[in-house]
Amino acid sequence: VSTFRVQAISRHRFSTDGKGITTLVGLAGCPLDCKYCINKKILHTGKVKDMTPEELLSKVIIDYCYFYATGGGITFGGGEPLLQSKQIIEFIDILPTNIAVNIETSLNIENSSEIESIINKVNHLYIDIKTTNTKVYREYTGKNNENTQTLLNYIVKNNLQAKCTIRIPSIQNYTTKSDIEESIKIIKQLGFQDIDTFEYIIKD
Amino acid sequence: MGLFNKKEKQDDFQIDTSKLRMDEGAIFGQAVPTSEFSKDNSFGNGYNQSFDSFGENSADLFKNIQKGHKEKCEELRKIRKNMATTLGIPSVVRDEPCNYNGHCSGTCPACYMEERALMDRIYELSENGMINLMYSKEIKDLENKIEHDLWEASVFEGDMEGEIADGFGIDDNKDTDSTEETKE
Repeated sequence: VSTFRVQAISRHRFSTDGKGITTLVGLAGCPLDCKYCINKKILHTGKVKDMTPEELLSKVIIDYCYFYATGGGITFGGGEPLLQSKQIIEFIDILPTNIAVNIETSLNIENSSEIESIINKVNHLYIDIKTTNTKVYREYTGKNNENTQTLLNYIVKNNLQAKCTIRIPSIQNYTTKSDIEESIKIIKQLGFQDIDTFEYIIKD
Repeated sequence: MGLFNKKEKQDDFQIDTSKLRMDEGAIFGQAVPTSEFSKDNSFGNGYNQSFDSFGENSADLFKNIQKGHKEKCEELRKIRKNMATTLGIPSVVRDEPCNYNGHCSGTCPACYMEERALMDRIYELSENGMINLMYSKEIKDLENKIEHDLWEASVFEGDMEGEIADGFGIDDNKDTDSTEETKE
């Protein structure tokens, strides 16, 4: 039986992680090493809880009436939730109706049929691309962004842009105004309409 | 095989939105009528926790967090009230904000009882054919498995090993991005 590695679950979130009231399920593990990551300490402590998809469902179902009423549901964040794509697919397959599933991701994952399956099944993807400047991306995350580009191209090829919000943050000491403008320009050229720009706030 | 059969789910699901559609507008946009249901807001009795053990320096922090949770409690109550009105059972949800002064994480057994009343109504409507709610029995079975100690927590796993303060699990109504950076 596959199991989720859960960092945390946060209930009753109001439109911060998707439409309506959502429950945020933070999954452990991330391929990136972002300099300002809020969850870095948690990600490296190994303090996670293993849950089967059914066990997770039996916990989050407690707020079913709110999901039903507001069009909300479950948002998988982390960490990088797509590292646990198999578990998410199993979870979606046993999910009652009227519960949305959203993913917060960097898309910096090796492409696979499971990833493509998730992209097709979820209600919405919040994709934090950081920046399209590959040099800056590597400096900030410690990784290159080829995987992100590949999966963005998959989304474009399958005309799934409408279910995506692209996050382009201003990253202090890393991205410049022109970096951000160039990222927005490229993302718009790919057909994405929903672009969220904001400033990372640095934890001391 | 999981609790729910995917094929049946795909084939059978439909919902008559003309009879019951609690979309965002319906829930958040309606005025909430009053009822004669309990004016007693002493909910939460037996649910008191003290922050004394955390020391004086933590008082302001807990006060701020508590304020956020109280606001959340009230928002959730309004949603329940609108649901109850939509479902034709307005009296099952309190008319006024909770005035319990003890610890509250945004939800409590009193809130939970109202949620259950709403779900029972949804099941009833489903069984009577008023709405077509897929897997209503299975959802009900799942709810029976809920660990009731989760009542107390808007964050019910995030505080494992005390890591909550460093992660997104902190749930004080800040719009914290779960995946990225924040500042205290």
